[in-house]
Amino acid sequence: MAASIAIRLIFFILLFGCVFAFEDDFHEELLVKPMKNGQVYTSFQFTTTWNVSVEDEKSFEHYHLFSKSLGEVLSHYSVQELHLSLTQGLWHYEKWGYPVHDAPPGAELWVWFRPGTENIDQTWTDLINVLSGMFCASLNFLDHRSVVTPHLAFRPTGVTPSHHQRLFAKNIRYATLPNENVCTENMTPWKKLLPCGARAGLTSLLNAYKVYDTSYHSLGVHFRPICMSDDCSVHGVELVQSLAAVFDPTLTSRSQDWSLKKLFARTMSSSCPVASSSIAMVDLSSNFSSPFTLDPLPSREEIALRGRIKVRYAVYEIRDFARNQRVFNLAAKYKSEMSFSANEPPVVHAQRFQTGYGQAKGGVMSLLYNHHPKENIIVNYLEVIPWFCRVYLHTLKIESFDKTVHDISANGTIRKPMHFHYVPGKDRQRPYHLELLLDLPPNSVTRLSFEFDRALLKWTEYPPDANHGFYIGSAVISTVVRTAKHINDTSESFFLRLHTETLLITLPTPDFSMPYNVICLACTVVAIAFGSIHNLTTRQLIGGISCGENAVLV
Amino acid sequence: MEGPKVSYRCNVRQYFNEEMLTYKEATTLSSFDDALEELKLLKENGKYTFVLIPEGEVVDPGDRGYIGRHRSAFLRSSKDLASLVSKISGVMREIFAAEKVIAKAWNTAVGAVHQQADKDSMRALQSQPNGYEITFTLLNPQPSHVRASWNIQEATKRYLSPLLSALHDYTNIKVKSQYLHSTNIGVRPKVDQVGGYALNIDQLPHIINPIEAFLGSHVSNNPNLNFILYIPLRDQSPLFIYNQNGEKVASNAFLSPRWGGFLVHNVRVEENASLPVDVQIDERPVMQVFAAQLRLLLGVSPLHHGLAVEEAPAGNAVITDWELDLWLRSHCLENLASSVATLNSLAQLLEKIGNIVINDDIGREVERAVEQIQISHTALSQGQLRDAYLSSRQAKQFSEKAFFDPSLLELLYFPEDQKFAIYIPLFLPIGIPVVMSVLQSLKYLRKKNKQKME
Amino acid sequence: MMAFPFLLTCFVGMGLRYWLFGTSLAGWFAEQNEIVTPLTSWKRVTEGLSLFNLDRSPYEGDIFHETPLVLRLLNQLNNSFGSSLYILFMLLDLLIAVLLERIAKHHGRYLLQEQARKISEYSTEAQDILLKTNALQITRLIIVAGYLFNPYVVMTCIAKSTAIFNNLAIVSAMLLTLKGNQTWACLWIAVAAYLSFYPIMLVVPAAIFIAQRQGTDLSSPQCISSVMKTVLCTLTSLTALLYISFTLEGSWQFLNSTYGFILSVPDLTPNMGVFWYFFTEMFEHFCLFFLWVFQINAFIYTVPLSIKLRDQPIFLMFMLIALMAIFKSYPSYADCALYLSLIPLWRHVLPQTRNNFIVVCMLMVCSVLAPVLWHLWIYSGSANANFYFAIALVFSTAQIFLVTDLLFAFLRREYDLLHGSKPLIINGKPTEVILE
Repeated sequence: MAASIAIRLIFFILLFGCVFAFEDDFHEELLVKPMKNGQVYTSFQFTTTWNVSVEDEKSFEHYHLFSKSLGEVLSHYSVQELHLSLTQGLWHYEKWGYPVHDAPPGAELWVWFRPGTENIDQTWTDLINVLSGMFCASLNFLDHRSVVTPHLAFRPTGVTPSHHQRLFAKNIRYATLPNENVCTENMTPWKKLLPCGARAGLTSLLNAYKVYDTSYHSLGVHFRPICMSDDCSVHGVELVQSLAAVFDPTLTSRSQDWSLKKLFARTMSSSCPVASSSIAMVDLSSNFSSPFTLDPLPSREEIALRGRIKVRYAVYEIRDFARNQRVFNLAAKYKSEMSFSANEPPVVHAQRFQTGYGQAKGGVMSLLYNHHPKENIIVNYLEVIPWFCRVYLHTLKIESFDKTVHDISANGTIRKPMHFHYVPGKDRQRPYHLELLLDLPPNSVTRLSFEFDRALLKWTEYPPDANHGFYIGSAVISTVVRTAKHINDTSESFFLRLHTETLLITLPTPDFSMPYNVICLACTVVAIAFGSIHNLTTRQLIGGISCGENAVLV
Repeated sequence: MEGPKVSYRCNVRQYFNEEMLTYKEATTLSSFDDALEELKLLKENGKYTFVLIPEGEVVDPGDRGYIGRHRSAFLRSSKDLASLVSKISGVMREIFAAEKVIAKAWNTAVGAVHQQADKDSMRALQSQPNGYEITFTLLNPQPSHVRASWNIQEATKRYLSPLLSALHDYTNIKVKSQYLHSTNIGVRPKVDQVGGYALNIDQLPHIINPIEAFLGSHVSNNPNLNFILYIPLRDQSPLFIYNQNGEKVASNAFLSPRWGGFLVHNVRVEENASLPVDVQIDERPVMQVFAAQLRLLLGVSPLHHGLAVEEAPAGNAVITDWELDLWLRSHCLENLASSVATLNSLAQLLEKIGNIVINDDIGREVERAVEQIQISHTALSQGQLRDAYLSSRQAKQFSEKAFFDPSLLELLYFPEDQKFAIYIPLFLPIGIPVVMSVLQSLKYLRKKNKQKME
Repeated sequence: MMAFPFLLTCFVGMGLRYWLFGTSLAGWFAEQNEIVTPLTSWKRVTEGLSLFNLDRSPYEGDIFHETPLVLRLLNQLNNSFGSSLYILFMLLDLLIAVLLERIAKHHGRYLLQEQARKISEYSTEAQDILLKTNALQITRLIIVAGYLFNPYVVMTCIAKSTAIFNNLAIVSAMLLTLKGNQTWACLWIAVAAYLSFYPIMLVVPAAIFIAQRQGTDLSSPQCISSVMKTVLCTLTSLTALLYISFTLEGSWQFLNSTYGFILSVPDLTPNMGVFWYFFTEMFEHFCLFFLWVFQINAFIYTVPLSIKLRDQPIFLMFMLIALMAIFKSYPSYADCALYLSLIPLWRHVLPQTRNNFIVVCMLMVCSVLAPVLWHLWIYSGSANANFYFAIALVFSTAQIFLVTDLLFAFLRREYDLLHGSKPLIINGKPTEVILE
């Protein structure tokens, strides 16, 4: 009797235990980085990990913390990795350093499809239409006219099956939409993907009025398969949703002090109950030049290494505050009012702009800066130019200058790219795709330029605002940076991706009010020729008196 | 078009020896019913058996009669043949064939307007050839208070798989589940007399609104049936649903027509228990309620017949065989009626708008739809319910594909008179001299002929 | 006796070109859309050559539209000449001038032969319009000077437009037809058709001319067999050229970029024709229909003109060259320059032309206004595309007037030869010559 009770109890406990081994996990974190010029960079990151394999379609039917609407889409369109970002504003690398997730202005989408997916182009088209409906963004314009298959610029960030490497390499598609405006109607469906919704935890800080009032804000959705065990025998998936915003508190107040209440007009009184961890971090690097004190005091301080640079963080456990029912309003008070200093430019950054004048031709010029004193840095430069800017590859010129004597009209040392991948565009079918592997010498500026011709499009191919112009998406620069003080140490390096400015090109426009006029005029010219030659060939020259209508023949 | 006409074929036979053996061994009517079903070699849709049992036997169906879970009905035999026959025909026409139900289904699908709002026809989803999606949602707006979990995958397998496998050949049902923590119901319950909280019947329509946003599917166009299990907030527990008479609803659940069901599950939390409390939801009572709601939503029941007959409940099987037949029959007719109506609308559209370009694919779809309709009609008239249903499903798919083809919209708005403005500038100045010279050359030829004749 | 003026003309012509190549006008001409088109632009050739040297097929993209044989020829020339490639263009111009001089000589001889043959039919009053030998001699100098100093020709040469190869092929075909050399004429017509699709029409006048050398009666079996032989020879040469290109390229992809490009007009770069703006503004539904109409329009004049001018096949060839220059899909000054240079061959019909002044004025105005309005549209932003299109329309109309006027003058001279140039007086009223 006792034994049977014991067995039942054990069984019950085991059952209980099994049931609560949910396979997914949710973490949320907030990073606040006050910068030396008074601006505050905030980055939210919501991570959901789920212990199912991305190849297992059956598991994508019963959901707990992972969003069902997104999971269905990812499973149905056989997505291995998906990275979507919707950004408004340009990230200024020289002033702000490197962001947590880099994103170009507008929308950017790149997707790795699972090995063995048939007809990837059709799947891509279906996927962008579904994502367009899901995120209320015009992603359906990322069709075959703007999508490319990058060669080296984008590699899988998650786990890839090793036996599928060769088949897999062509399964990536990349496209951008530089003129996409991001507004509240994009944030609402993004928030819906979060398990806690907008009511508890860090999401309650996301006040659309304040976030969308900033000069730079970016939404991101990143999905990839990951290793769940140390030996990577068990695979899972990870969904990271990120939101970054750069606030400028000095615009509306006389002091540099900032707080969550001031930035977001909201405070946190609860933490997300389903989150395994909920933390806020403050980057204390600028504490040296413009010192500030934090209130409340942090739970602990941590030091992180990023490529051999030590960064000190003040870490707050938000659940402790929620448990003690204290309102969490992180605030910083500065010792002196408005003491700004210039941020040092980061190791690698770039600028891009248009050259030329008029609406017939043009050029693009990129300046790639390498501020490292001793090391060459190898970068991959990806450029996607729409088909109506006809790129002349023979005009591609790469020159390096010493950083201190840079004069844009002078001639520097000509360089050749280490590797070169070019897919010429076809009218109305695919864009121009240029990828270069460049070696940037230390302490230098490398100037990359090429020319293009502007095409005249058919009148239906112009957008309603034809004279606004057309956008060329950002160039993508990918590199691995070693910021070791000692050259021998190669272990600490980190991957870096940069995006340059987008360009606005005006194309020559026809007169849109003229279709019937043009038809009449052109047909008149043809008719003149036809009529005259018809007359001359079907009639004989005859002598006669022509008096009005009746001709008397001789 | 007129409604469907039903014809019956019947034959009478003696019992077989094996049937007699089972009859002797049977203890209850339902076990006899199951045993008889085992004996059947062919289990055909649309064939029903009436077993007449003499009075006073062990498995006497009683005065009223008994309808089994399979396709058999058991009646007490009597000397009064007239009443027996009327009982048999009553059961056949009202229950097994349910002529009124299928006539109503046909009329609704063809597009007839009902005089009075008919609750029964508005409750179930219309026939969907491509399938349905069923989503089970556990709505727990306060996960800091109660950490609820349910093993919905197992529950679906155990409780719903008979229904899903019965319908597997005929329609495609996918079952998915999720947890929602980020939203709450749209109304505030009032305090009731006994210290709990109450949701009145007039508050029920507004409950689902904020939840709706999280429930759609971006991946398929099939209709979604949503079943929500709601765990009330801490300061709104216990929560009960009251009907229009002011009584508590026994199942504490309600059904939203053509949408799904909503069940409130109250959790008892001790006063000083440490939060959050872990709760494992017992799926059995929950799935019973959901299964009953699913039957209503799929159109399986109820049948309002006036006959005094005892019906065996579906029980674990969720759907009895004769109910499945009825479902097939009414959905088959619905499919046929709606595909005929769609094709008619397409024909009318083409007559009204002259400059629609019909591709060959659309023509082929229409031909295929018509072919399938004819096959389905033939199968129905021969009583082959399964083939009839499958053909009718294909007919509906083809007719919808033809009607909703995007290429039909392309040239809809290009006016005829503008075509003149495009062709005339070139062909008028070119045509006139050519026509004149043709006329001149005809005149010349005629003159020459006249000269030759002279 | 005639050698010295010739040499002087050639020398001055070459000197002019050499000087202009050194100025900045060379770069400016190479970008003007009236002079170069996407088919003939040297910048695109450079792009194609650089892709070719990187072992990529230049036909993958949509920039390069030269044929494979020309691609390889230009690659070789580029490698050997390097930066002094302009000398090649000067030499080609000189070659064309020499060929034109030969054409003038043979054509003069042919005209005198025809005149001697038909003198019996001519009226007695037509004495003063008969051809004289020394006038025909002067034509040889006029044609060379006319070519070397024609501003359109100079602009085309300085711009390094590859239309010069096309002109060379057509001129060679004309010369060899005049000489009566059937195989070589067919070969050069095939080369011209290979380079740009439209010269295939020239097989008709060439066949007629060569057949007429066999006998005057066109329906006799020898003539018919001669015509068939000419046509077959041309088609075979063309097929051979295409097949050699296919072998060199390894695929038929180049057809899409060359013939496909000429026939389907995907690139709407403005030029001096009417196609580009028409297809920019056309509704999508009617594009294909009007494409067919316009392409057929380029070829259709062969039929009525061949029937009317069957006795004067060289004039027919000239007319076809002129109509080709007006109605081809990407016209430029190079095509116009070609037939303008051939006009001196028919100097004797110029007195009968009626629209001289208007045509010359229109051409001059268009040539001056075109770059101005282009600048205003593209660079200043004060004008729009309509202005440039208007100039293109006027230019085409001017050319049409010129061509039809020449045809009328030619026919009028034929009539005058048969009936005398003085008008008859009947019943006291002077008669006019009218078309009926």
